[in-house]
Amino acid sequence: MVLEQDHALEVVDMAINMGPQHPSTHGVFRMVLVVDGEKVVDVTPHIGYMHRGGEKLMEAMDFRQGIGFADRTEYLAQFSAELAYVMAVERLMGIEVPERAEYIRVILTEMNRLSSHFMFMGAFGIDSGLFGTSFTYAFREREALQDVFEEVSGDRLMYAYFRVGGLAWEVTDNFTQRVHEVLRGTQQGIRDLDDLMTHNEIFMARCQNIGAFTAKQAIANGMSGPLLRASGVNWDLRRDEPYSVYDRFKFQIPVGNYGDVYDRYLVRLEEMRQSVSIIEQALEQLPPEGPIVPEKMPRRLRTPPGEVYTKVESPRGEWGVYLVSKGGDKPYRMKMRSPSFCNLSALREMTIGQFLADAVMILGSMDIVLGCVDR
Amino acid sequence: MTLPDGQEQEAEGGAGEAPATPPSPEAAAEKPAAKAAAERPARPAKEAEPKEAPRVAPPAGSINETLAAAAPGVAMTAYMVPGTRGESVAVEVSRDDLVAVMTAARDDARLSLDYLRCLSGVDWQEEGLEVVYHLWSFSKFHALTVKTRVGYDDPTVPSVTALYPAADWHERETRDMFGINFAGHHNLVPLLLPDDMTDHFPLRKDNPLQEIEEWQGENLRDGAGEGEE
Amino acid sequence: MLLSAPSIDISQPAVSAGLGLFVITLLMTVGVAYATWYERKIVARIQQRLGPNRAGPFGLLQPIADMLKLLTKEDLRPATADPIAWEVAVFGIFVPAFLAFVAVPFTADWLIASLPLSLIYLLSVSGLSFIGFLMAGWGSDSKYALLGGMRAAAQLISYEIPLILAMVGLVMVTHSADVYAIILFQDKVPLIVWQPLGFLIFLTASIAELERQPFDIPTGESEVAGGVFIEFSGIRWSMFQLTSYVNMYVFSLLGAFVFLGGWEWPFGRDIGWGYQLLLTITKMSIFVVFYVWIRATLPRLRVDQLMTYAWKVLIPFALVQIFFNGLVIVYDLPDVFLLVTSGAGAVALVTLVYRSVRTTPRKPLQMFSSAEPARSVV
Repeated sequence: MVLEQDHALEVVDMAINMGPQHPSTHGVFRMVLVVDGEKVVDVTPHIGYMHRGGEKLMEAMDFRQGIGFADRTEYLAQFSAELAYVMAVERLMGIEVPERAEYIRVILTEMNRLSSHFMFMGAFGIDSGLFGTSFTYAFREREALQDVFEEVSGDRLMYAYFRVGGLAWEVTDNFTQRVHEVLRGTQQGIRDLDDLMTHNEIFMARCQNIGAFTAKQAIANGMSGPLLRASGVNWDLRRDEPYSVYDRFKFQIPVGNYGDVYDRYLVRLEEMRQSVSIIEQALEQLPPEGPIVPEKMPRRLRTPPGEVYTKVESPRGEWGVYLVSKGGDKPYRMKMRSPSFCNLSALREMTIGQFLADAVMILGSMDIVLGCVDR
Repeated sequence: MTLPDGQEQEAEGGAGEAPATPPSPEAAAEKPAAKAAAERPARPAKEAEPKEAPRVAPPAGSINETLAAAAPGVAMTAYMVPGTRGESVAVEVSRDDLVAVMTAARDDARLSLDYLRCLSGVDWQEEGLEVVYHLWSFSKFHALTVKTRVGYDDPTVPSVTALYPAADWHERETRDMFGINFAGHHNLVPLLLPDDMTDHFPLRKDNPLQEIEEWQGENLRDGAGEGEE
Repeated sequence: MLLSAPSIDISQPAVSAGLGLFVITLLMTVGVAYATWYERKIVARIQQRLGPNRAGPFGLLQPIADMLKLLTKEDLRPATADPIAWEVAVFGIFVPAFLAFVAVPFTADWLIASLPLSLIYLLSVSGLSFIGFLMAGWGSDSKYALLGGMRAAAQLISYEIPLILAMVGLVMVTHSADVYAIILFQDKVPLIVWQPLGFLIFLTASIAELERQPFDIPTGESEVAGGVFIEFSGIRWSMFQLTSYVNMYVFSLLGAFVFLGGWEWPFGRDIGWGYQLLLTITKMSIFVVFYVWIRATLPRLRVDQLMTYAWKVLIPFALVQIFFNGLVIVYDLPDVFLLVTSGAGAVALVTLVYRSVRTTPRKPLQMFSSAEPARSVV
């Protein structure tokens, strides 16, 4: 007996909503995936859940108060955000930062890069299915770094330590020893994470050839940072548009070949090692004594009218500050060019055609911070 | 409001400006801030400061000349703007020439400005709304800032997403914040603001900051927050 | 080679069976609760942290605390859940797991029922649980649960086949489908020596059947946030979790019996039930430790990779194993040929997996010095 089918089976694509509360969206981010079985057919990212009107708020804060808000936008790479902001104001006002302050800024910013990349390693391991092992390994080292930040600035996460012209106050007396201690632990932590993930066959099978992006696509989509470098573009702001005292250090810049998730992971891993090297060089070159603000520091921070665009190589990419001033002590317009915002806009192009599980990996490899996506 | 902190005292080196120091926290707690400000001696008049930066024309052979050659017939004003170190060229063009200029910027072999770094809106109040494009070339290693200004009555700027896909979200955000309509954008829906908030433009200067709390109460303007679900 | 097993020496067979079942169920429930404690402690240590250490000394009362909490939780039920499927799903998963203990011989004298086909019984009963997953996935009326349910069913069915084929190889060697007889067969040499390839296949397929890392796609926390179980809370959820550990015990016992020699090897049947029980538990623990260790350290496979591995790698290797077993039996070759062929197969399997991932040629990262500014970036 043959059953005849009256009508063909209807096949409908399923729309899956990931977020805004979801273990792997790295913050309040919502993705609506339309899947056909397991393959993603369309992705619609929805952002704005963490929008706090930051740029408007900055217009009401003077140039010292704004530093605290810069922390809160990029809450994993705070020193990069603070650095871009104070550099913009210093450029407009024509202030020269003393050497010692510059070196300390570099040391702290690179340590912040380490802690941000550790966060990435931990969260990325969880995305790929590790039961949390990578997370605890990474956070152990991150806690050590945060201890140093707390000693120096008084806060574990929202440092507000940089000031226009230099630093808020002098670092602790044993700063150099502490940083050396922490670096030893950090190098061991990097080795541990490397052993755990890099050559794990399952991890490689999950990461290779996923979300590949060519250099042309990356440039056209405005990407920056490790994603751009993983796609093969040899570009790092610390070398190519140097700021602060980065032109005095010798380090290597890792550049990938395939632009896939595995390359991004490798690039960040290698960047961590290079950061350790930069910090060590900076500690050697650090002037043992010296002022941390210029002598002729104006009491009230008033910028002459003008505009400036400063950029900093944050762990996520190019963090830019477009500051327009009409005189006065507050910005007239303060636009934060956040790397996570620009990288995330390419999510759709990267994810279409991949599997559902890969969408999570791709999002993880972008290493976004919702604070700076939404501001 | 400046906050007293140790750094200031050190930097001053005892310049002795005691009368201008802000009142102590206890005093500030007792009196409203406005009264405290009035008690300070009047600052020397600095209203004579210029409100705009002086514009320096770019030196000969700068990128604006190449741009003028690549996009003939376009009226542009060029001047220098500072960057992290050094300066780069900014050109102001009119809205109608924008697409031609951006196409020339990207496609002309001498310019190859293939990277759209940043797209911002600025509200200049009487002088209109401005859109600023920061461009960079990864092959020629030069930067260019393109600006265009529109009036409040017709805040429309052609979209450049066809040239630079990176502009997609930036334009949506600028529309949210400033109300500038980007003609030709394929999906100009709110990005950061709620989906139905299409009539307020928070970053415009006529949206004051202090009153922002009122929007969430009974003083909601008519029609706000009542968009489709 | 056919031996029949003696039953427990109590007057009425039904009473003795019932008593045994009761004892087993009780022990297994407590044992499984403490399996959670054990797992949490070991995983925590691998992750450089301590694990539960507040509830009681060394956290030993933690399972009791968890149990109390879960029992007193509100039994939420989605309004649109399918009434029958959602209710019965839990039992559909829970009951087959406990049914497996009927045929498990803990020592030479302790078993509830002696079945001449106990191996087939064990495998078929533990394979019934996928219906429960499907019911949970469908009945929850949630997209995530549905996805998880579909993935679970696909995975369980796919990995049943290599598991059973590996067991078929064993049955061919021992000429018996009774677990008791297979244990007795191993009085000189455990079967892992004769069937290393079968052992590897069993190991992999059993992790997949247990839905643990690296095969925990149906319950992938970071993707579908718990998969099939997301609409179940309180007692129902705890039953799911317990079932997972009961299954872990069942597969560990099965592996200990058929591959490692159970209580028979190396000392034989005459050493008394205490030592036999100790041997059983020790060998079972080897598997448990392995499962927990793997869970803490390996990431998760993607669904298509999982399916590929089952259908294109494990099943062909299992068939090859059966083929060589058949050759040895039909041509009456000495037993060492079993070791040679199966061992070669095991080495081939490991090499294949290693090479397919590691040696895909991949250019290493290029390193550029900071001293040379970029001249060509693309």
